[in-house]
Amino acid sequence: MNKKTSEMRQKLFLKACLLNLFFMFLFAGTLLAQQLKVTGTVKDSKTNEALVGVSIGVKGTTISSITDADGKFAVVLNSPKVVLTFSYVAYSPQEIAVNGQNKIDVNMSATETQLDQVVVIGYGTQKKSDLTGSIAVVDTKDVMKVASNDVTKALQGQVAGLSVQGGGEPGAVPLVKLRGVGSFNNTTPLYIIDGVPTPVNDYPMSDIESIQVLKDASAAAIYGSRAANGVIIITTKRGKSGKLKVNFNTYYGVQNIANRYNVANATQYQKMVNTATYNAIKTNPTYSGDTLPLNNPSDPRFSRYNTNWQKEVFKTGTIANHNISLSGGNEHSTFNTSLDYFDQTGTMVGNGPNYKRYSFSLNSDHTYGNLKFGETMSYTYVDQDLMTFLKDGTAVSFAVEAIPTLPIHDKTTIDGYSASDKTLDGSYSANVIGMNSMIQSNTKRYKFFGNAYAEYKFASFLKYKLSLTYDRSDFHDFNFDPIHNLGWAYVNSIASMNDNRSEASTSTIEQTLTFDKKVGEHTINGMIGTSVLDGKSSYDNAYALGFTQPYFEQISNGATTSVIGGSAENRLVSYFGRVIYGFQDKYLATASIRRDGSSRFAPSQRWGDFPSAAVGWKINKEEFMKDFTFIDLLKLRASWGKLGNQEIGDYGYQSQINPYASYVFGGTLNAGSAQISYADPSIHWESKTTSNIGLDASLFNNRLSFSGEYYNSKSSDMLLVVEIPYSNGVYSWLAPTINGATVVNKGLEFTAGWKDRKGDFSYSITGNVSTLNNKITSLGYGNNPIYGTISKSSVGTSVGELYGYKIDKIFKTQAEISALNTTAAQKNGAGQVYQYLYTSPGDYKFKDLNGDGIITDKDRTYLGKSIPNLYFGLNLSAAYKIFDFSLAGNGVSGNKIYNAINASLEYGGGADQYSTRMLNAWTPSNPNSTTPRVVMGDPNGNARNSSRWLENGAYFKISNVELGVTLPSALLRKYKISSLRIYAKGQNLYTFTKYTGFDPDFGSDGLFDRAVDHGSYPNKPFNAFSGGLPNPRTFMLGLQLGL
Amino acid sequence: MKTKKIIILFVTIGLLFSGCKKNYLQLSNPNLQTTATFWQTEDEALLGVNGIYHALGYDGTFMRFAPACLDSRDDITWSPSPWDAFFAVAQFNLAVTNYMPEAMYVAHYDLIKRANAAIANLPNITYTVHPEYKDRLMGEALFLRGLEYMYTVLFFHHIPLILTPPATSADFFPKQVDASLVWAQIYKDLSAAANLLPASYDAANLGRATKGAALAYLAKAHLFNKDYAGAGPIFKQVIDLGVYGLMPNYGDNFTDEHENNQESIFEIQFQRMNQPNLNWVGAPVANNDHTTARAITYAPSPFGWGDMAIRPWLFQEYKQEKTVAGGDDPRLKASITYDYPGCTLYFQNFRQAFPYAGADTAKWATMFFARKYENVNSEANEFDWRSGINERLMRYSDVLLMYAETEIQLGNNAEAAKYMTMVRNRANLPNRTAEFTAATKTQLMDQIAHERILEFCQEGHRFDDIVRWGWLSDPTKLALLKSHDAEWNGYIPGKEYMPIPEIEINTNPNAVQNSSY
Repeated sequence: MNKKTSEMRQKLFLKACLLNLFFMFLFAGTLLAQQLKVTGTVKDSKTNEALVGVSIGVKGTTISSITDADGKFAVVLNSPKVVLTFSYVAYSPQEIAVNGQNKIDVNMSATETQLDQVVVIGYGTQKKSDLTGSIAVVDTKDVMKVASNDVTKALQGQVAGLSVQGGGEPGAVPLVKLRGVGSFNNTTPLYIIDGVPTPVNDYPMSDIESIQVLKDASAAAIYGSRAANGVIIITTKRGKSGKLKVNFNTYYGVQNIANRYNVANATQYQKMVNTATYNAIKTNPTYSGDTLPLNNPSDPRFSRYNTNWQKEVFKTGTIANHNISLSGGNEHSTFNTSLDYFDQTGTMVGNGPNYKRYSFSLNSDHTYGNLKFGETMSYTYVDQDLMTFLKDGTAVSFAVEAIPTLPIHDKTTIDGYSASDKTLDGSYSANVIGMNSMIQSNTKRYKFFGNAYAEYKFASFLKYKLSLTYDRSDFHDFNFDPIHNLGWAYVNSIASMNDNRSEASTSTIEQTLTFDKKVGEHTINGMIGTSVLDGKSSYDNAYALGFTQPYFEQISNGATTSVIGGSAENRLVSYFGRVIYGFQDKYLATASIRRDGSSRFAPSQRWGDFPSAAVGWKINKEEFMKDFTFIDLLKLRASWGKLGNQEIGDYGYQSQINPYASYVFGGTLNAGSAQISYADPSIHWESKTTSNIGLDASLFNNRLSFSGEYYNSKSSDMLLVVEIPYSNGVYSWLAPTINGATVVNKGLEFTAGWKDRKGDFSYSITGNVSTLNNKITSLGYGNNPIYGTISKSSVGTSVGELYGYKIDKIFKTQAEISALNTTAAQKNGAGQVYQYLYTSPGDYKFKDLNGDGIITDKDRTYLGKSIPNLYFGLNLSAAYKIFDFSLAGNGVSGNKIYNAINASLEYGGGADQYSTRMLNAWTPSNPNSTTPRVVMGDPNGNARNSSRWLENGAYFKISNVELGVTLPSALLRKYKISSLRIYAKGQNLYTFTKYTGFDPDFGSDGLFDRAVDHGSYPNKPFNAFSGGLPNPRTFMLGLQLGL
Repeated sequence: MKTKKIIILFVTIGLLFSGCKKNYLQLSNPNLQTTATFWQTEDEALLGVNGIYHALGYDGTFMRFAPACLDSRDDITWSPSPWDAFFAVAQFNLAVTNYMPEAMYVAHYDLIKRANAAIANLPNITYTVHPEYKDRLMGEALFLRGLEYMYTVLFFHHIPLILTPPATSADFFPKQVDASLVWAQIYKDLSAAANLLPASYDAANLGRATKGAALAYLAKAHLFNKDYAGAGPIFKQVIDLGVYGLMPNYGDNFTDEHENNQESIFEIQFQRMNQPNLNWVGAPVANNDHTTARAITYAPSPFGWGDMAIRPWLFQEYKQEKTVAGGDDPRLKASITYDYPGCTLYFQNFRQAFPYAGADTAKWATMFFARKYENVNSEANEFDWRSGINERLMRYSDVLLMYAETEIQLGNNAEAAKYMTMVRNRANLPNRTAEFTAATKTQLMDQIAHERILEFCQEGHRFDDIVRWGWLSDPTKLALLKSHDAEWNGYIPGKEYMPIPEIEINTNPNAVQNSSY
């Protein structure tokens, strides 16, 4: 039934889209016709190819025309003494006086030299060569080669200073950080799509025209309050006047998890567990266990199964994307519309994960005299099944850690899946295939994005723009947990269901007034504006418990049901202005200021001011440089500015009374209230001050380009939740948000590229390298450190610096231990021991760093950094006649990873799965082993946080290799096809690394637990846990067709 | 044309800076009341005090860990759990990062925090509609704070004594105090509470703290500090209140029938609501359940998690005496599930429930599991995680035996024998009053230990008894404990207290770790 509804919904959706398309064609239709006729052809000056859709205007009139498919045009004029204007995107405009000619052929030259490229900056545009701030213009050609549900994944390795980290689960949202850790609560950059702040996830990549990354404070300050994490500006494809263009792009690929953990087979596993049991009985008198029946050959229940769970759990996933777009228009109106379907299924057996996305977008632009107006609209529907599992961990870690002595299916159980048993195998092993096949978890998202604008030109130098946006997402989360027994710790005896609905919307009104004029040698561009934002969200979560079989998964069918709900709102009011000044096209200066007021802070702390200034000097334009003709651009720039961050929860400055602290008296529930947590009413804007100095160069006719810069940014008053002592009765995650840290990020960034063409052969190579030095300079209440799973961040360290015990050696004899225990008792009191009472030969000796003769948590020390200090990316491309080839790679170095899956496989103290490395564990007959003994319960804490499972996190990944063929246009013309390209590619083909986990590029929390790898970061959308698939290796084929 | 343009220009500039309403940025949380407007009315006073009781039901308080921690450390209960939150506690081998002490520390202080807020704010409220609230609510808050400080000081020993809500963030970092100061405050809170609280409630308010509860815990506090002269009269005061008596059927104290009965002096109220949120930790939500996880934790696998099991010597302890009719002590089968003909659990015969084969059948004779507070007669297993059985934290028989202990210490054997006999009579054990009256103090203390084991096994008292009686520094008794329960081999001096959780040490520069950790 569910499926049917969703199909119906899809059909309706398609119908709506087609209807919209029809109206678009009406816009695009007619051309004008008059008397005196001039004809001609417009061609590219280099390639001599006809240019289609060039706009031709007649100066001083509204007459206009465009070139047809053969580059031909015709204009009818009222007077022979007029001037024709030819304009075409990415080409230099031309003006030609008619002077009575009736045939005019025009050669236009491409402005594709990057220097003249127009870059979208906040509330305006600027020529790339005139930029004074640090703005990276992303080569969208390279980015679009990556097949991903999320454009940010495709940005990995493309921009110096931009770090993208994330796993390969369908629908996964990577963690994006610009220039280090600049914030502790939300490090996601601000995404601006067509001038409007909105989340970029679920946005179809095919609609993207350009991406600009605003890195320094001077570039981003115009977005003031929300720009501290950097700003990524995305513009979508707009229509161009000319004949209707139809593009169809499609690809299909298969995906696999390439790596496996080496785990024990059944015989090896049974031997390890039995040894651990034997060792515990022998050396730990408190231990009371027996050889477990499944591992005891003399027991009738001895297991003869040998299941390779990783082999059974992983499957081949698929990825596909189909996109059709139509664009066109005339000199008054242009439009672009597209339909996009993206479908990815995960690499794991069971219900999830899979991710389907349907999107429709439409935009159009219209001019009417001095008025220009238009809109951008898109509607996206996402249907995502999540990979399900229960309790802590990730599905992949469950799969790797499952014991081989259990089969997958077992007909004798209540659900047909095998289950670990406390007395038979004593393992926490969970049947992850059973979980992912029985527990359902689905989320649907419906997103509408609409922006309408109107621009009025008062004069050629003065225009006003009004922009209205409404952005709304509806969420529907569904979860069903049937009766099951998937392991003794994963038993459910009462079926339950969640049906959660929520919505979030943002409304924005923005107005700007822009002045742009050249006066002699001075160019002045000034802009002032205001912005008002209102964000709202609400949710209703329904829950039902007690379903009978056969299950009808609707809330009403539960024996008991309940609903909870709530809502929140936030507002932001802003005033901003900017002046960009140029003198002689040599000296450039920019200054901007933004003032923001946020409802998230108390009235006295509400307003923040975010100023910036920058200067630039085009050295190559100086007189003394005129002999260096091979230099196209040599520009020095420097900037300073202050940015803000307010990305904390709503109402955070007010202490609340929780009204749900009810209690039963006399058998009846009585309402109760309690203050659960404390708030800091003085919280205010987090601010980030950045200084930036950079050098841009372009040489040898723009074949060589180089950009290098240094930045130093200081994030102050960083908003973060700082744990307060548990003696306050406040759980760590309920601790107050305070302005509690200062962090300095410094780095060098270099981007260089070389491109050339030799006859039919053209090639390019670009690379980027950036360094990062992250350091905390103040923290929390009185510089109290912050601890993560295996990290301690304190003043002077980097964020998430790894912290734990140092391993000295493995004890070989009891005498060594006894001697240390004697000293420990002498120094610390009778009965005290060096490590633990049952430390035995084969256990680790940890280093007594403070020399007090006893191992306590004071003996922990710093063990390495979790943040890489070097990032690099590489793009190679080459083309010969109809063939094209490209290769992209990226990597990091300088960080360590805590291999949490290995930590579990090598725990050595339980009945869960063992890694094959443990087969070499210490025994009296293997006394030189560097792996400690196995013993139930790990009474020595061999598995405590130490350097044991920290691995070198450096890697270089071949992320994309692509080979394409573009069919010759002569061949295609017969079939009325304007272009056709077929390609094959491999993604994530090989990773050069010493790391032994699935993938050194994994999803994490990005902060204090950044180094902790569970296979990938789990999402916990509601009561079912999900997520955490490593990046797959992908092979795919694609086709790009233009009509 | 030009003037028109200029007019439009000015209009737009006006538009550009036409601000929003002055209060546009002032938003209040539509879901929750702020602290600024709370603690103003009588109704809020009641809500605030009810909210303190709510904190009794967290994982770290009495939903699971407080009873589990107390029982697993004694010599009756042992933990076959593979989770170190249980087995490491039972083996006295706790790492400072262990989850159990962490969850317990924060949950107990959460309750103290709520009580402190009430104690600070209740005096500012005028009571007109419910004049009875004035004393009662303050009494309840003081009782709960005193009770929690007693548990917290017994668990952690070296703790901060926080009595007021933090005024500024500087107050977030308290120093620990000597345990004697905590005990002094417990005396103060509980005696004040005893003076404010009523002796009983109407049916709708059953479960609230009473005068008897405050007195019983006050007396217990004196007993734990060896102030027998102080403790005796207070215990007697509880007895003389005349509102308590022993239930004829011992087993009625551990099921969800007969809750808040005549024997119950203070009882944690649990109730199944079939709500999704089990309220383990954190902020309460609207769809919290009010159940305990004790049942699933103590229930043997495959009916529960099997984190707790019972040592066989307890069975022998019960077998030491026959009832007057020559049968087993009725408390045996009410307390333990084991292999006897007709034993069922969760509607299954004992041997069907644990289907061992061949030589393994010898195991049946070694298997003893909790029966108290388990839904063995009403559910198929405990895997819906929800048990609604109230935890009887203080029973009248405990007052009787603690009073007897006090009198033994004071040398009043006859008085002690009288109350010991009262408890024995309910179990139909032979009358040994004369023998007890004639016994030495040592003999009687051993007898009290025996009586308490039979009466209170797995009710969270045995470990405190062992500590109170000084057995930890008595080599003979320590050897006895080790012979009862091999987990005791891990005990070294100082491990009778839990570690101050590492999260407290990490976040509070004033916190000092307990010795031996």
